[in-house]
Amino acid sequence: MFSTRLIKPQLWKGVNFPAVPRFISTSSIRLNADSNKNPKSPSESTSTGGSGKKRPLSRIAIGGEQSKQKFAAGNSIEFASWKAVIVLLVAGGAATYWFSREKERIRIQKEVESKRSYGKPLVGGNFTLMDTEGDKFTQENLKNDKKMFSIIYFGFTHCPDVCPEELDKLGEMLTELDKDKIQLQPIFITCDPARDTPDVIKTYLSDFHPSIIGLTGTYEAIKNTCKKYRVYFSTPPNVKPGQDYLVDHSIFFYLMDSEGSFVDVIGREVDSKEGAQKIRDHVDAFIPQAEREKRQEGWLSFLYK
Amino acid sequence: MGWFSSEVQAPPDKNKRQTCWDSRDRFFECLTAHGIDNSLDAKQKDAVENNCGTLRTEFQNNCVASWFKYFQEKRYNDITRERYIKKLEAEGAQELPFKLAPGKK
Repeated sequence: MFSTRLIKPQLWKGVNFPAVPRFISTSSIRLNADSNKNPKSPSESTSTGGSGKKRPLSRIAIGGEQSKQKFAAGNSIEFASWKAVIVLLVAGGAATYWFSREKERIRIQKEVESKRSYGKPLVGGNFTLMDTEGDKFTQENLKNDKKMFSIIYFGFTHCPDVCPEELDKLGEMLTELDKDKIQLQPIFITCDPARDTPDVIKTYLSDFHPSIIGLTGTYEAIKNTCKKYRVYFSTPPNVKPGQDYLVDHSIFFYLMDSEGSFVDVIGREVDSKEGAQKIRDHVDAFIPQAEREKRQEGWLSFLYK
Repeated sequence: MGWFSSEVQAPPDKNKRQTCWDSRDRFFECLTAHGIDNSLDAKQKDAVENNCGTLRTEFQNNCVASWFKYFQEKRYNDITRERYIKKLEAEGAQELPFKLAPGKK
């Protein structure tokens, strides 16, 4: 029993064991230090080791100090003072707030992630249209490094009641989000390219919000875009030039992130306040693709699964 | 093309929309007051003409033709729908405890 205990430090001395990272085996280090202090030979210390408090099977490590004083009553009472209670409350409150916020963020991220599929996107995709200034506008215009989301609405300028209401709502949402310094790229795509020329759209949109980008194109280009966004629309057949008609179409706002991927829809039942909050939450929870991939590989990845 | 077609081509602006909606509301108020559900129904034509004739003309003048028709159809649809819901409720039907929205569990 004794002989083995005392031989060990001798062996370690030769290896020059690093003392710092060994948090657990402190007693061994102490042993080591002890033998340094008393330059006695191991055989000599055998005689002293047997005497006094350091008996065989004692829980106190050989060379260890008597540790009763370490947990002096005075210390613990001082620690549990009102200061500590305040520190605990503040830190605990802050941690609770932070965790509940993070939890909500992660929930939204997971929801968006579940909608993101590999390969062909379910909603959205490539399109080539023209803005009211006559410039080309494609899906690439949705992408940016400024984390600026886009919100897309399909409609037509002769729309009797729904589109104006929805576009008014869009204007309110943009104003609301502008207060929080959240910039959006609002886009209006016409479903009625025959009547909605760039000039007509430009005049129409100026009623709602100055930043809305109006897009039009050939009938084929519009049809293709609507298909990509799963928008249903129907122009009545056999329309004569100059005849007045209505276009039936789906009424959703499509929220797209700054990588051009579909995030969520905002329907008619949602008012401007709720809609703005939805956008705010999504913008807040957004993480770029590079970071998302890094997270999936990182050691904290289990948190996001 | 001429004057007529260019007017049809340009969509109503904010003011025109508001004027149209206002005269629509006045006309519909009159219809409700006289118990007329479907103002496009041929059988109701006389009742509409005699009771709300001027408001109808005003409504027609302030709105483009497609809107004039659309709003009247929509009013009748809404009334029918509301009656149907009331009927279901009277029969003890209950609303769904969740919203029918796509993508929600």
